[in-house]
Amino acid sequence: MDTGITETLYADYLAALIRGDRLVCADIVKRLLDDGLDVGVLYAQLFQRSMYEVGEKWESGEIAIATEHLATSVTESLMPLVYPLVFSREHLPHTAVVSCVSDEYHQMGGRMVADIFEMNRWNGYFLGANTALPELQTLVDEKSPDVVALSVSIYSNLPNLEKAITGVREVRPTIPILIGGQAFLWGGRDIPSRHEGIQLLTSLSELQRWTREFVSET
Amino acid sequence: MHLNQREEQINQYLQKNAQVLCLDLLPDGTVSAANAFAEQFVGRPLVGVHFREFVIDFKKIINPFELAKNPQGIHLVNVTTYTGLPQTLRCMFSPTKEGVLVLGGVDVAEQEALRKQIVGLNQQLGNLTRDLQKGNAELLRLNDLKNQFLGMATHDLRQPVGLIMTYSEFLNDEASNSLDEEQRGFLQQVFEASVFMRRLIDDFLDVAVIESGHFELRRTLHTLPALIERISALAQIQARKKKVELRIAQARDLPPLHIDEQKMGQVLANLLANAIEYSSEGGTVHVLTRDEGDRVEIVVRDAGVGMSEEELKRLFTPYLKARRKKTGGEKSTGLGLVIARKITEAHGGKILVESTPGKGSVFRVLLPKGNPEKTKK
Repeated sequence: MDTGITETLYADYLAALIRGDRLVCADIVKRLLDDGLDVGVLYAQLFQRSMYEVGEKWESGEIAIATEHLATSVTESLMPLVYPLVFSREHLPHTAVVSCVSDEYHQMGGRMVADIFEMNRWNGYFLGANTALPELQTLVDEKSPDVVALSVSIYSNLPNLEKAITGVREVRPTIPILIGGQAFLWGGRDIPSRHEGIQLLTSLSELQRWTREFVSET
Repeated sequence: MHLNQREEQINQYLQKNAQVLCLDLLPDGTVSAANAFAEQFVGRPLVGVHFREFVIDFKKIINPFELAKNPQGIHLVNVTTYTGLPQTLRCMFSPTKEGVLVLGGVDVAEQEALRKQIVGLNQQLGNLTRDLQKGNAELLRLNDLKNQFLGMATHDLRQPVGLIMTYSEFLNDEASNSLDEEQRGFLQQVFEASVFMRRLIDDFLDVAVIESGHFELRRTLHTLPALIERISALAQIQARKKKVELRIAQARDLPPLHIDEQKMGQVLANLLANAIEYSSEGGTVHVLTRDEGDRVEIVVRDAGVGMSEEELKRLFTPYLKARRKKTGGEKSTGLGLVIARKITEAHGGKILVESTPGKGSVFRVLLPKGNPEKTKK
């Protein structure tokens, strides 16, 4: 499928991202949006793909952690460029609360998930990095969402994910909970089998599908 | 590997890579030797440079020779780095044959804490931006809903209120002989209340249309003096009731303007009504027109109660009524000036206001000559 994100364009974007050149990255994103690129495709094929590649470069010692942090900051600063397009749409009567678990400082995946809900005309509330369980419980209680989505990037934070699942269930015993994040590359795939109503989603496109199916079933 | 070889390797590595600043100072404070990191860190060659040229010591209290008397002590020293920003080093001063050896390193724990703070603050900023944009979109949606509701409600109210207005006026004119004075008074109150309600409804409808973005002008060529004469004649009735004098002075040879006559008439009527309502008995309201090069200016000046700075700031905000009282206790919707400004802006013009409490107000409407819609194309 021709999305407008050619390999050359992607390479230019990635190089600018690693340089921390926000202006060049913003220019590429604005051009793609002006050309009518779907925001879901932008998230999956530019933001997510480039950040995965930055992560791989860091893991293989090609770039320092400061460069990875800079790339993360640049990407997060580009996300508001799509907000006027997604927030102004007529919303469905569905709400999702998205959060990172406690001690999880990598929030971009979670924020993308909250935005994907918005793109699908849901109300996607995002609590941010390192969210304390009581804070998560309060928002779940207050917003009465249709679903809670929990993001974990670091493998060692998986026990906190299980605590968060139990904590959310104290407030809403039957609410569906979606889990996902880079931590599941290293393990934790058995977590859904230990709790009722938990679903592991491994990509943004799976999440897109899930939201559509949920809407068609309700 | 021999011990000497091992030490040599460690030394070589440290010389090349260790982020430790290493300086030899002569007794006069001049640098006699500096390692590569020191020069990279400060961003210039350091040999022959006095240490105060890159060490920040406004009070001149750092004395390396005094500090070297306690070679085990760690001292915080601020250095201007290659970025132009200062950096704090944890330094050790030791005496040597020629002077003093200075060794300094960055506090890694402090750097890490700062990095964590910056990353966290950056994330918070991103999340706040998201919340703000989401909140703004929600407010815009609510405002649209409010305008839709206002539009529907006022549209449905307009006709029955019009009937009350017409029939109460009719009864007052035609059946007044069969009513006693108290009954006529009641009827007059019904009539006045319905007139106010009708004005309120019309203003609400105007604001709803303007805010919905469906506001359209029907421009034709019009001479401003004729319009001002017509609107002023209507305002005379209100002015006479309040014993306010209306003086009009128009510039000659004003060119015809591309305006929506009805809408600009509404602007003038609102400004004149406002000026009269805030004027005291015996006061004067001046209306002037001027040719101002590429624009035409209409000035409405009163010597009434005037406005404070705070009131001026709220003047064009819908549904925020001014706190000042009208001199005749007149009722108003508080929307007239909001509508006047929106109409003027839609014509490519603007309204400027100056006011002094107790002395009065001046409203200046600036309208462009020519056809702004043609210019746009």
